[in-house]
Parts: sequence; C-alpha cells; structure tokens
Amino acid sequence: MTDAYDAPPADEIAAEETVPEPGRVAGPATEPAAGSQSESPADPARKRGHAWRVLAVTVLVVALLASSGLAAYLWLVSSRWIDQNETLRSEATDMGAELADAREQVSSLESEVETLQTQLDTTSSRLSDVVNDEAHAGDDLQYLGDLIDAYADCVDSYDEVLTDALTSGYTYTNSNARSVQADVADYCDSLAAAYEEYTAGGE
Amino acid sequence: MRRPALLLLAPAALLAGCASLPSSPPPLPDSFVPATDATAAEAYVSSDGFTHAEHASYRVRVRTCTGYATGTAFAIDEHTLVTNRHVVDESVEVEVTSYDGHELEVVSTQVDTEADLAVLTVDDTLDEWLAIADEESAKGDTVTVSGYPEGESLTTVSGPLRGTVDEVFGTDPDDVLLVRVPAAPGSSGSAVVNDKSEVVGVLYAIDADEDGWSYAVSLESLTAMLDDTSMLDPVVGLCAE
Repeated sequence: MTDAYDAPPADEIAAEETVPEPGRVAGPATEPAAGSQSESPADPARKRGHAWRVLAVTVLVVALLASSGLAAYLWLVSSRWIDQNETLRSEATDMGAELADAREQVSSLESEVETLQTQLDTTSSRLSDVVNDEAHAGDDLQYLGDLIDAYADCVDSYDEVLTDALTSGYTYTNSNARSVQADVADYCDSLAAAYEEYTAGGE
Repeated sequence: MRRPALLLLAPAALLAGCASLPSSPPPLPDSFVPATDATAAEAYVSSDGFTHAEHASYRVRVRTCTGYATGTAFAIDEHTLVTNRHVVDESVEVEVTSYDGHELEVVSTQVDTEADLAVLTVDDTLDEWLAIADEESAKGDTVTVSGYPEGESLTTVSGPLRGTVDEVFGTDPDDVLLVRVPAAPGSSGSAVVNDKSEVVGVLYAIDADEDGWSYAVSLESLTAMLDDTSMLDPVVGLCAE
C-alpha cells in the first residue's frame, strides 16, 4: 500500500538502488513496481525505510525545537549579560567619576595639609623660641636677683668693715682686720666681674 | 545503518552541549565599595603641633650653691616627673617649665641611690604624661628624644638604639643604653621613647669622643626605681654659710 506521502523522493530511490541492502542481491530494473497486490521481497525493506524516515523526521523536528529553545535560551542569557554589562559600565563610569573627584580632593587636601603643616611647624618653632626667650629671661632674672643679693651682702660686709674701722680705728690696723677687708674686696670684685661677664654675654 | 546512527547521535550531542551552555550572570552586589573599618587605630592628635613626648617634656632649671644648671624632665603621671640624679642632686632650688612656658611648682626632689635617676613631685596637675614601656626596645629600633639641649629651645631628635653597654662612668651597677642621638648638656633627663611614645630609657650622658652618640639609663633601672621608692633619698638643698 502506497500513497503520495510515503513515496520516497526520487533521489532517495536512486540512492537506495545504488546501495544494495545486505543479504540481498541487487536485481535488474525489471523488479515489480511497488504497490502490487502480491508482496514482493522488497516490501520489508521499504517498510524499514519508511520507519526510518518517520524517525528521521521526528528527530529533525525535535532537533529543530531543541535548537529553537537553545536559541531562545542563549538570546535570553545574552540579553541578561548585555544588561548587566551596561549596568556595570554605568557603575564603573560613575565610580570613575567619583574616584577622579576624590583624587582631586585628596590632592587639594594634601596640598592644604602640607601648607598647614608648614605653618604649624613655623608656629610651633616660634612658640618654642618665645618660650625659650622667656625661660632665658627667667634665668637672667634669677641670676640678676642672686647677683643683687650678693651685692647686698657685699655692701653689708663693707658696712661692717667700715663700722669696725670707725668704731675701733685704733685697733683696725691689725692683720686680721686687713684680711677681712681684703676678703670683702675680693668678694665684691668677683661680683663686679660676674656682672661684667653677664653683660658681655648679652651683647 | 550509518544514517540512523547519525540521527541518534545528533540529539545526544545536542543534549551534551547543553551542559556547557553559558548561564545567566550572577546578581550584582549592592555596592562595589568595600566596607572600611571605622574603628581604625586612633592616632595621637596634637592640638598645637607638638608631639605627645614634647607635651610631656619639661625644662629644668637648677640653682646650686655654686651656680646654675639646666636639664630636662618628663612626666610619668599627673604629679610626677623623672629626670637625672646629676641634674638635681646639688640643687638648692628647682624650677620646671613646660613646652609652652607654663611654670610648675616643685614640692619635692628625690634622687635614686642606684641609677642616675631622680623624681620631682609637682603641685600642679599635669594634662599629659608618658607611659613606661612594658619591654626594652631591640637593637636597631628607632627611638626619639625630646629635650632642652644647652637649656635652649625644645628639640626632638631620633636615631637607632645601638645596644646595651656598661655604665659609662662606672658609678652605677646597671647597664645603660647606647643610642645614636645627638644631645648636649641640658638634654640630661630626657625621655627616650619608642615609636609608641613609651619610655624605654632616660638620657643621661653624651659620648665625648663620638659626636651624635648618647647614653641612657635603661628601662630596667627606671622600673626598678619606680617600683621601689625606698631607694629614693630627698634632696635637702642647703648651702654652707
């Protein structure tokens, strides 16, 4: 039984005729035509070919559907990657702009910090100098105060010597009194020398 | 048979290929900026440009029976300063001035009988003082000294610690530190601090032969003195008439 649907394409027939089935002897072209009432030896082969053709078409259809699904999937995945890529590019561009701004600010702040550091160093140094001057002034004040006290002692000593000389002039010529006078004189001279040294150091 | 086999292999290959298909991109994170640690170590912030060690360093002016001398001291708590014994042991009067010119009133002066160390107690309440290090600095570590060389302006210098040597004058039993830090008379009593501004020694002598080399009382001697105050003798401060 044959119909138009089952009829093989002419090229397939030709191909089948050129490739003999195993176990068969290729016969002459005088083989009875398909569709004859009596079942010829070629009928099983024809049925097998038909089954294979159905299977082939089914496989092709499945393959076509699978390919279509694959293509759709790939398109979906691709569009998602593209979307994410655009998002990332946008994000990267924004972050790049922010980074550029931040770098500019950092550079500006570094310059500002450097200037402020220089000013702070100068101010600190100046403060130390002022404190140092004040400390030296304190040193000088203490030194001069001590010198004044020593001069006062000197005056008192001279006063004692002078008083002794006036009140007991006739006995003032002894060596002990002269020695005291000499000591007082040396002491007062040393004070004068110290003051001269101090004033010389300040010049 | 070849054709049907191919027809079966094709879908099989197709299915096998599906295993290596690219997948959708993973979701993006909420932020690409990593979180920063807001609790980073707090650096010392100076209110006026001077360091912590400089804030805790004081100029010492001493009047003796025969003259005057200057040195340096540093605070270790709100009422206590440490300096060298040789700075104050002959003192009749001790005046202490801070880095910004504030004068402190010294109420007592005590000297250590072992090491070249002394303790001054002040009536004022100090704002800043230096912590004593828990361990000695190692050879090669950079140390810093803030003091008043020659009684002049506050100066800060740094250099490497070169190791431990015998006490240079042979008067004290403990070893001392050798540091490559320039100093001068007046620097005596300066704190030698590590990179954390912790005291690791007390500068007390300079090397007369090698410029830029100084010696410091060791951390061990300092902690021994602070742990055992019974070794301290008060300075009387009287001159013979």
